[in-house]
Amino acid sequence: MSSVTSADENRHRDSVHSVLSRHSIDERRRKPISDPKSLVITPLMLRTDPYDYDSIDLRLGSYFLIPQSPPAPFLDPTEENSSRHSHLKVHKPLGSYLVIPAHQTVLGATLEFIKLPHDVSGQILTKSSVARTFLLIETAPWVHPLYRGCLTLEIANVSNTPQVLYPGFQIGQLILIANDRPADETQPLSGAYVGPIEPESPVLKHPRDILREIGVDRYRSPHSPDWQSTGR
Amino acid sequence: MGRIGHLDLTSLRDQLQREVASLYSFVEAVSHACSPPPQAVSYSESSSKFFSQISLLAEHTKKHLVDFENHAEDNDEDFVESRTELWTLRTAWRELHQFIKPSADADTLNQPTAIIAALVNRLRELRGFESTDFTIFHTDSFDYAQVNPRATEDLVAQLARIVDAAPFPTDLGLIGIPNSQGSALFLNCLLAHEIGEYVYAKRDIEAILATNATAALERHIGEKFTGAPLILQSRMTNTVAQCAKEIFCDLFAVRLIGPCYSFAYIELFDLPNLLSKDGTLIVGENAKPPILMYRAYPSHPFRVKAQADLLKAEGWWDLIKDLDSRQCEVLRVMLELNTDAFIEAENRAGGESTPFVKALIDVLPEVKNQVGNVTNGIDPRLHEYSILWKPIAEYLSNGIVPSTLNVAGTDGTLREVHATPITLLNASYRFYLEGVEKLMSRIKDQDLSSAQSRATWMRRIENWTAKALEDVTLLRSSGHE
Repeated sequence: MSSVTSADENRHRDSVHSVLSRHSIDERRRKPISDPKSLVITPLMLRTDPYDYDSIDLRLGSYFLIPQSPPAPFLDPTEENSSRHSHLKVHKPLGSYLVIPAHQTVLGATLEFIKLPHDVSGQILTKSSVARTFLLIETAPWVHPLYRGCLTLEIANVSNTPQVLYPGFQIGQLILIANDRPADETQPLSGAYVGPIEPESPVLKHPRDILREIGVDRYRSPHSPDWQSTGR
Repeated sequence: MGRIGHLDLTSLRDQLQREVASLYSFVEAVSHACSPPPQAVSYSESSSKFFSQISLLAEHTKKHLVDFENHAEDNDEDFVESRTELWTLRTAWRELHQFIKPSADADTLNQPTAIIAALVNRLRELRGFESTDFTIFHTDSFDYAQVNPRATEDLVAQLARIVDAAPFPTDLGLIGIPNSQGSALFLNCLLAHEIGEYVYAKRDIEAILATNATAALERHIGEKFTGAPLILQSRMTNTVAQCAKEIFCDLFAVRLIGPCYSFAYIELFDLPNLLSKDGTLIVGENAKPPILMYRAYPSHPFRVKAQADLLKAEGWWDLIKDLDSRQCEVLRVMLELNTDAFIEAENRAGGESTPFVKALIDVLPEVKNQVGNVTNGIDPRLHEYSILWKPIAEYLSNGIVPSTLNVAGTDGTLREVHATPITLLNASYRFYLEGVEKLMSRIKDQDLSSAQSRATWMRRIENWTAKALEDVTLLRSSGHE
């Protein structure tokens, strides 16, 4: 564990849950990556001024996962590749577009690759101009300290008309919030989602393992009417 | 009603019409793959240009066939001429056929767009190739292939002339990649060799090297060469010239993109197998691959030796020689190997190919000269690499895409830097070869003894590099230097 000095503590107490301003974001972007407070956002199109006073605009990337009916009749958490089969991967290079049918959700990702500092969390919000067309970045908008990767976006077209998405357009805004205690940057990173550059299918944990952890002895698989042991 | 041989005229006319209709159907079927693609698939601009051109040719061909006069009633000469035209059209479309569906298979999800863009932009730095582009197609065999631009141009120009369509753009090349490698990155550095073949054909370097090859064969075989039938002389010259072409394309690739080409070459042909446990070169019968010349190509060791020599002459070797990888050891042993070793090996094997190897060695200076001519003025990016390879490795070892680097200047202040694609490729390939353990040590629960785990993170390094290549291209085109 890294030690936190009292001066650090005071500084963090002062900044508990404060939203980082444009100035602070820019300052952290200029730190060397060996500094745990460093922030990476790349590529950042500085010519178009991506900053607002307290947020930074993020653009839509080129890769998408479109839901499709898997070969199996349902998404099966007991089947290793089930989640991968439930999406169709699509690439739309800059300059081309993707049409999202009405009432459909697709997975996309930000064009920007992000690495958060150890003392900052992030939240991604739909840009208001986008939201007004009834396109929403749904759920899972929270980004943990030290996260690195392009952010996966669940983009829902909640309108009654198909909508056109152009990769490279601003779609969301990232709000950065300082935490009262920094995460320990010396700890190994969790491997499941380190450094994605495109939306990825979820890594589904086997229900047997989750249930065993909370003390459940037996479970049923969708493939079999029989109860099976969780191995507890 | 007139009769022609055992047919009456009506019957002949009908039969010819059937043949015309058959060709019409054939063209329609061949060009079908160029129809507007479904929304799920996207194509690069060069692929779209290729498909548009094929569609246009198909439309003109079909129109030409609709209006086709079969000359059944005319004299023999006109009849033969018109029938030959049908034969020419079918031949041309049969040739085009082999590229259309494989090109349609190479949509942007199934071709390495990032490295192709980087290589094409690099080629465009060369005089005379400023507007060149390539359509990528898939090959079933594990072969990278470049379609001789002069051959396709002639063929398509002939077709276009007959059906009154615009000829293909002369600056659009066709390159095939193995269909399994569409999403790989580093191995596709080998595409630089295919680009070399395109340059070789466009600049007609074959004529120059063939003259040198003839002179070299005269020196080494003497009367046995000059007194041989012309067709045999031509065959022998072609053997040496073909080998010289392969070396030209290798050296062109090294000049274009640096040592990452050699790393990919060594990886593809599994050349670390040339090394014993202690890193020395395995020679003699146990060597796999042996250093003997192949039927129509110089041996892999010979080619790597030529690349290693150029890397040293260019100054790259000093920057990569401490790389912790057997890839680099292969380059080292080849640098230390004397060219005479290839001749001695041929002599030991019976000496049949010895004169060819000697002739090839004689031609090498002209090969290097030609590589120097076509790549004249290109910055190898050595200096940039020497400054940025460590920061790029640091970003990658932290799991961060290295497209925007904060680098300390000589005065200690940090500044934002975007590396060029050539530096990104070379520095990232280096990290791919020697840094995966460092990266995995930062990730929870990783097993270094598991090939699967290593492959996952090696794949990630490729993905981050591809992303960085795309990012820097975008940043540069939007005015960020």
